[in-house]
Amino acid sequence: MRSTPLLFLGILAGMAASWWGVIVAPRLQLGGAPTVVVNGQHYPPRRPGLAEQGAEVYRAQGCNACHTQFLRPEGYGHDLDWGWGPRRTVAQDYLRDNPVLLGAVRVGPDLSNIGSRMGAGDTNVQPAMVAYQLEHLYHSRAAMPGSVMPAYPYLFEKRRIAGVPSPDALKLKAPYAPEDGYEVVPTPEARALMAYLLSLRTTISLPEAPIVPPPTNAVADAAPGTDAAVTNNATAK
Amino acid sequence: MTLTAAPVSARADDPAPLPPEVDASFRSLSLHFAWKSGFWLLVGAFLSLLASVKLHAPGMMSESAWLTYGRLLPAGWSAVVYGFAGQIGMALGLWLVARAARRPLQGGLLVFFGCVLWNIGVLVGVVAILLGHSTGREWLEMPAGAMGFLVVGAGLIGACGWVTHAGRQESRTYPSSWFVLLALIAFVWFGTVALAMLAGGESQGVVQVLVQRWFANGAAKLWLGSLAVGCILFLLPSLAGRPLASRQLALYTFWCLVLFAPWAVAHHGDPFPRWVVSAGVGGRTLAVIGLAALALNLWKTAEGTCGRWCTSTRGLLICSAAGAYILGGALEYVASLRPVASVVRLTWTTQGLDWLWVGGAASLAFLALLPDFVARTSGRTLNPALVRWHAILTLAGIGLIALPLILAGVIQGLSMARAASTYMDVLRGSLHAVRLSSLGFTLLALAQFLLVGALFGVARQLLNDGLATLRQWSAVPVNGKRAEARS
Repeated sequence: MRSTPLLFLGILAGMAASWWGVIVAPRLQLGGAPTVVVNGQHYPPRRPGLAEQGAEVYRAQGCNACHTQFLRPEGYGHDLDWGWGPRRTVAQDYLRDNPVLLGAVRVGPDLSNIGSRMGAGDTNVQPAMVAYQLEHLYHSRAAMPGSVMPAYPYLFEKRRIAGVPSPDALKLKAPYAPEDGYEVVPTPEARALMAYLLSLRTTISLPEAPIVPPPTNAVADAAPGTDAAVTNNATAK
Repeated sequence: MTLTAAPVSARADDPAPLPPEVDASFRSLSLHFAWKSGFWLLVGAFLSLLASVKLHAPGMMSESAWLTYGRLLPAGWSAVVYGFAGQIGMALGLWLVARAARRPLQGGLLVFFGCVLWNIGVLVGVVAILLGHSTGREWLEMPAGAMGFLVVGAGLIGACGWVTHAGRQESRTYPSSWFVLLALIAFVWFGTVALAMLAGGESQGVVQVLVQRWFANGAAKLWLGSLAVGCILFLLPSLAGRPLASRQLALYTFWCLVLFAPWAVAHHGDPFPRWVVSAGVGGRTLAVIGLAALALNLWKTAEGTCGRWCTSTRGLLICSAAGAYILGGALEYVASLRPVASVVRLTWTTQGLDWLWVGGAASLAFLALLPDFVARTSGRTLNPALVRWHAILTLAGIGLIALPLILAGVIQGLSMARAASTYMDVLRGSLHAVRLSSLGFTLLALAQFLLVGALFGVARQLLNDGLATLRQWSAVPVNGKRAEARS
């Protein structure tokens, strides 16, 4: 430790070794990974433009300060027991994301499969779930008493009802409802955020993370991890 | 206890007087660093307090986008980490290197320029986060442009530290210098690589996360952690009045930090290749050897003398910093073990450990040295009463932030393991402890008004001295003596 150049080189070599081991080698392994083709479609799929804009809203609002987007496998926590998704998430799931917002703390539930929990593509479920999530976004306690999620009224527009009320207007109850003659409608940012949330799905079974079908006799009990529990949790959590 | 009662020698095992030019070379720099870092700590504590309060009143001030929780939290954290801890840590590090080298700081102007760039970067970064331009990557939330200012600023500061060390008058170096020199390279290295790989679009998918975590881990352990160890190894032997117990143990700590700590990036269950997770677990385990060596070294150095000095302001802070460093490192290791990680990972515990590390280990170590730094380099003394109350409130605040958050995470994790009822119930169970941390943020924010008050007192002294000189100068008749008075 007497020689300054040797100390400098020693430190640099130690830090460079970790760079090579932690970043360069995984990048060589994963960096050029292609999308996989499942049922004739590429996975992960490209997000529609509105969902891409929603990803920007998600990042700008700092949603990842409270929500994670990764599920650990069985035996490493209880993520799957909570019905947040049908399988663990793997590197393949994030190939299209930039930035990848895994998150570090769960003040709120995990969102890696929130699209499925919101019934994405299911015309019977999706509209009601989107309306619920918009209400939650406007003022979390309007939808879920006791929630600690921040309110985002600036992602909505309160406006005077001109003629017929907008079909997109939130159905708010007192004390969150606007005064008579006014309505609250989502701004394009809020709609984009919903589109992004609907795009978050991990329902494709991958070789490294297969989806194990739930036991058929457990549906009635809505055991954690089953489809019934997922549906229940989508509203309860 | 007064601030100047116990001199901080250049090395506890070497009582030879320090050349006065060493401290004098920091005369104007020390106040620049102290004022700016004090300002950022106040800003960071206040933003963090607002974020914490919003957890209890989510509808409060919700009309303003820049006051939403997801922006306040990273903005407050960035102000504390980069505005306060990193900035004052590097300044103190330079001072320790110069004192250990018995040589005036080289390139003071470059250091000043680096300090200016650093503060521009922090200002741009914090404002950008509040305006919604965060990158979303933990510890790297500030936009690439702002981080670029920080990296260049740290490069200038670090280069001056290394040049000062290289020209030292004796070949043997004191251990605190090793850690400071490591820190002075570490931020530049981790920052440059992370910026190049993320802003340059070189990384795809989870590689981005690896880069971000590698940077965050490096900044926490090899930058702030090393600076904290440097301060502790410098001050603790001085307070104990005996040399550091073992240079060899310090060497183990140093190389464990350099070689193993940067690998501690991945955790069990992360969506990375399994060998990357194994490397992370291995690195974390081996780094514990260095932590144990440090604990033993400090224990042997302070053994039997603690009662004499640990109730003084500096003693209290440096003891707490050393305790937080060792406790934080040990808890982080325990929390990474699979059975424990299954419970506490991704819970409030993560935030609690971050605060224990940055607020407890690093910030307390820096605050222990700050009054001496200002007093010895500028000749201005911070008000001892304000300094003492600031230390007590800051210590209580950080304790009340970190420990309840760690506890809240355990409660949250155990509730989740029971998989009972809804997520709201899980959260509700942990919120009492989180509320306690809001009290900690309140104390931390209040304490910083005292620090700013003490620094303002020094500014007033300087202003009064300046005015007195001006008056003296203007009172001298124009008979040729004015130039003499000016000199």
